[in-house]
Amino acid sequence: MAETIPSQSALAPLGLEARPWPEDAPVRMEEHAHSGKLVLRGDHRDSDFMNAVRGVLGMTPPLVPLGSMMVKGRVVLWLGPDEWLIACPAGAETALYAELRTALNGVHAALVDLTDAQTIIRISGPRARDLIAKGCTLDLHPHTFGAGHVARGTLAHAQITLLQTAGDGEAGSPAFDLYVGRSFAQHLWRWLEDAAREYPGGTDPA
Amino acid sequence: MKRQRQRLDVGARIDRGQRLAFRFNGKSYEGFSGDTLASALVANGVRLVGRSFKFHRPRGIYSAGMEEPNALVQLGTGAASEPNLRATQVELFDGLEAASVNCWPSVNFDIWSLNDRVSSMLPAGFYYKTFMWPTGLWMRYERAIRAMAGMGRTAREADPDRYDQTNAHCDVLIAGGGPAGLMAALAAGRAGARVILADEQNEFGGRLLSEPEDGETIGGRLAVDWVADARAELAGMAEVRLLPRTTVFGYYDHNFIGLIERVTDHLGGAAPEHLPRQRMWRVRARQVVLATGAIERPLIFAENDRPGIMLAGAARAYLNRYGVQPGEKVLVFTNNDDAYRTALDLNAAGIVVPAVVDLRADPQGSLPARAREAGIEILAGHGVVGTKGRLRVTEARVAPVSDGAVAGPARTISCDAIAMSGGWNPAVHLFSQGQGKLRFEEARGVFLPGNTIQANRSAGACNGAFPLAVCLAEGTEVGALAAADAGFGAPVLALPETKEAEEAPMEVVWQVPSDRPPGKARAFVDFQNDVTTKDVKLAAREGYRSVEHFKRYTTTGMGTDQGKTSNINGVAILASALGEAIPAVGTTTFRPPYTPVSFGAFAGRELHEFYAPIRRTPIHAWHESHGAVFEDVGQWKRPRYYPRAGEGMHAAVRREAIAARSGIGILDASTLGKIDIQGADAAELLNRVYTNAWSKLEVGRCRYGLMLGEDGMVMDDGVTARLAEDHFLMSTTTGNAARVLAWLEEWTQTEWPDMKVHMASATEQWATVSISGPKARNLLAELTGDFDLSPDAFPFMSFREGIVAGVSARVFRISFTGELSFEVNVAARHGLAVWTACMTAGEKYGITPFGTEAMHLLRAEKGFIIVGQDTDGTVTPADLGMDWIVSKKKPDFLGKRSLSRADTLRSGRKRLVGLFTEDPKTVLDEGAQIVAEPRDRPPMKMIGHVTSSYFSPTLDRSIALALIEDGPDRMGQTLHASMPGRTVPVRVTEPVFFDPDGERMRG
Repeated sequence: MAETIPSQSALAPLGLEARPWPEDAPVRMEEHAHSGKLVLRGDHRDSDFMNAVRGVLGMTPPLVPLGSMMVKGRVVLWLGPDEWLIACPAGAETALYAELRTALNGVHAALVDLTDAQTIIRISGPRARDLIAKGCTLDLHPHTFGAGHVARGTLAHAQITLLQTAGDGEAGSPAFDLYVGRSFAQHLWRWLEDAAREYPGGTDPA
Repeated sequence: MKRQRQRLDVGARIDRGQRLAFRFNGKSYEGFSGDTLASALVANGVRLVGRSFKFHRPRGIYSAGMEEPNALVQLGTGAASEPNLRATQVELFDGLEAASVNCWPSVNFDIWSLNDRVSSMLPAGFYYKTFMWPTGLWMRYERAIRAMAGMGRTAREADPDRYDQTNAHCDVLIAGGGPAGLMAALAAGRAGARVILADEQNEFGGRLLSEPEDGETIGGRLAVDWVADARAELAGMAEVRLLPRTTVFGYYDHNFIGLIERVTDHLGGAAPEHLPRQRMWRVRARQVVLATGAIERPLIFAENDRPGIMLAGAARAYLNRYGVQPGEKVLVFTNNDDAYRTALDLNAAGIVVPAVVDLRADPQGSLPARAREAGIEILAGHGVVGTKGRLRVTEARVAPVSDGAVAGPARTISCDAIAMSGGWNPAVHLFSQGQGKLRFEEARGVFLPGNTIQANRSAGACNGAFPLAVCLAEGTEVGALAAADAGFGAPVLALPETKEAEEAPMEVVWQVPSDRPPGKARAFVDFQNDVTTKDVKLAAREGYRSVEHFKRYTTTGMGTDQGKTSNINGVAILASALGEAIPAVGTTTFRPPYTPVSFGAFAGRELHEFYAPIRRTPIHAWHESHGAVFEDVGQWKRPRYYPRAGEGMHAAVRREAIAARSGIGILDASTLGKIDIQGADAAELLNRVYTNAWSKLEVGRCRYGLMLGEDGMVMDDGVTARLAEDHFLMSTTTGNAARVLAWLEEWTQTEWPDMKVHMASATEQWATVSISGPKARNLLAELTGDFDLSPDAFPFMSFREGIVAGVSARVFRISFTGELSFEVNVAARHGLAVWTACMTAGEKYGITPFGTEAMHLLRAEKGFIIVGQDTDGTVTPADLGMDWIVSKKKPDFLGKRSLSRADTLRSGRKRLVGLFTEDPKTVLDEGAQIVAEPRDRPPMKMIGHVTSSYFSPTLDRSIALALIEDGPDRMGQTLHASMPGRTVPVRVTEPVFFDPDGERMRG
């Protein structure tokens, strides 16, 4: 029943579909809305917790900083020593939430469905790093950061979780998923669009 | 257009095929691509470029670089106009328009040059001494003085140019792209390190660009060709970033470095639209190499400031790099061998060099020998003791000098330029900014880099290594070491051979004696600020022993050039006047920026909508399209009210508030902070952070909580719901959401790590549609069939989950307006749809969107506080009359102990009450001070202030909340509120104005 009501993405008010980015632009951006996002917290030294999580996800969540892991279309992002973000295909979050809840019954853990609290801005292209560097102090050089790495920081004064989804080698140019709070998304998008004016080939900001 | 009559026909690094037209002080000229504005002016024979700051003396181009004190220009006109640029750094472009600063009405006739006639009346500290009394008048004096001494004008309009900023990281940052910097870059780059090489000039090469084409060689190549090779190799390295036209302006802690890149300044009107004008780089470098070169030190002699007198290295740069004659008859004056290069180059170019005046008794180096061979007269043991010429120098008086005194009669030498050199000062500015300690070397009279506390190394001239071979060697060494320290094993880099004349030692001379009577001839130390040797000595006599005081008193080293050519001389002359050693006096602190940086670059793109993030709710677009007037609440935009055509704020708020009291009002409450709390100890956490008890709250019920700081003062409030035994949803005020979450994290992480509880911010997950008013239940009933809405089944302060308007919702029956209210929370993606559904279904009830202004009014009628408006961090629960929410049974909660402090218990504290104005139409100003006795003389005792004030349409009168000393004890008393131009009598009343028993919201 819920799906009869239209879903609006965080960036829907900007009407982005009307101005796609050229395929060969030095940077390209797109909103990747509605993919499921669950935040999981728990103690990785607690074997009950780890077994429960492993049983549902089919993997051990990453335990090292900057780590992420992808299994069966789900990505688990390390956010802190006791905190993970589980991203899953759009619509799959409700079932996954229920499954994890059941598995974690009686275990000290927290699980929150934050699917709508954030959206993802996907940035790719040869100048993607330069674009992000304009507002973010993280060092994304391939020597220190690569595909699968995840970090939290600020970009244009908005908090972001940044996941590199492709390295330079694979796609020819890097790609990043920027998880940003829904209320900040329009600000961040417009800021990035303005920053990208320097790389001709991108669309003009509205 | 005038011919470039001082331009040489061949040679130099300019493109004679590319003519560029420009205007200076209203006249048209022409220069070439590769020129600076200064070189183009010299080429056109323009000698007089500005007036000095204080005496308005005529001044000419003095240098060829960023150290220029005189040639300050206003570039451009209108909004993009920029003041006080150094003509020596402005790259010429077609259509450039510039004017001298600091002269009126024109550079040739400056009315304020009258100051020069009375200069003996304007000694150091003149303004301090004369205008500081009476102090009240300083503001008036200052305006006149500033008008007279102003340096350029800022544009009145907003700057139309775009500026950008970026962050960068590197293994080795190299400041300066001269021979040492290039070698360091090659060494580090070949080792594979990430290198940033920045140089303020348009091309790399540093001083090599100013040497003659047949001069020095490196590795058997002409120096400039070697530079081109090095640049090409570096450009081919993937990990090397070359930044020409980029000044390293600031060296901060932990190798954080500020760079300013002039991206399109040199292109003028041809600048591509998509590029920013300038870009600020914020670089974090593992290692820093300083290869910042040296700045030539002027000789201080009598009448040394006439146009045409310039630094010897600058004369060489104009000749060799820009192909212009610095003069037709150029006298060279020196205490070292390097200036002989200038003499030789000038002579070779066919320019008359009447003599080299050398302060040394017996110059015997290879360079003086070559000068003698070339037939240039050398006046050893001589000094320039005076000059003549009004708008340009016409002659020099030269006399034998020894032991700091004139030792014989002077002779006159006719000349139209004097190229002089007192040696070279290493540019230790960045090293010193980075907290490095300087050491003084007596032999050359130079400050050199000493101990550093940051990961940096100095190489080349800035390290005191002037010979080319040593520059290259040092650059190679520090480049390799820096790369190695950053984790890149450096390959062996063969050092190229060099051919360079060797120099004999210089003789340090801080002040050239004069045969003129003392007081008759001035010798300028600081050109931009008109500080003379006399001023320096006066300051010493008046007791200014600290170099920092001396600087501010005499203004030596202040202004746009920050004393690049004057500081060391000033310090040396001060030391001599004080009878102290130079290192004992020391230098003033070097501070960023190295050279001026425009405000635009610091602002970057953080302007207008990007000044700070704007947070929008999922329903924002609806508010916009329905004409909402927004207000900022933290970073959020919240609708303040929704005016209809012709409606002002008061009328709109009145209409919105009446709708919420009589029909239905609808409010976007999505911005309220929501914190999800889970774990076995969740209830215990609430017990500890709120003043009331939580353990017994039933699942499905809500409770209001008051959160205190450790000082016992109210910090936040809100309603928390128990979703499950071990699962709560806390709401916070909009502006405090992040702070409260951080507060909970801090306590659980640092003090209570054993608690089994986790928090997460869920604010943005939900859109919150609050419907309020007597018809709210009717409306909700139309949108949901999932749960029973009857008062018994769904009582006040409880919540239900179910489908509302087709989507999953959490509905909280809580109220901030005092009316029957439901807060419908749905996933953010559905927020707009649910809002719209409410609007549609509610139409028949006259549903009315209301903003924060009406919300504030409605809650004030109920006496509900707003944390941060009715509280200010000094207010306890008791002060608010909210003792009822403070548990007496709980063993502890944050802030409990502070509530029993003597000060929180004393009488006389300001406490919350209501106020009625005697005239019901009068609305008090929020913040208005309250007094008991209005007839007292000021300063009268203020006993409180108004915190909230509105006109209540429901009560048809004004209402106010106020914090007043012992307010509850003053019920019924008449007090007085101070309003602009009058006092308003007010009556103290209870702070609940409407429905005190809460029947409406509980109904």
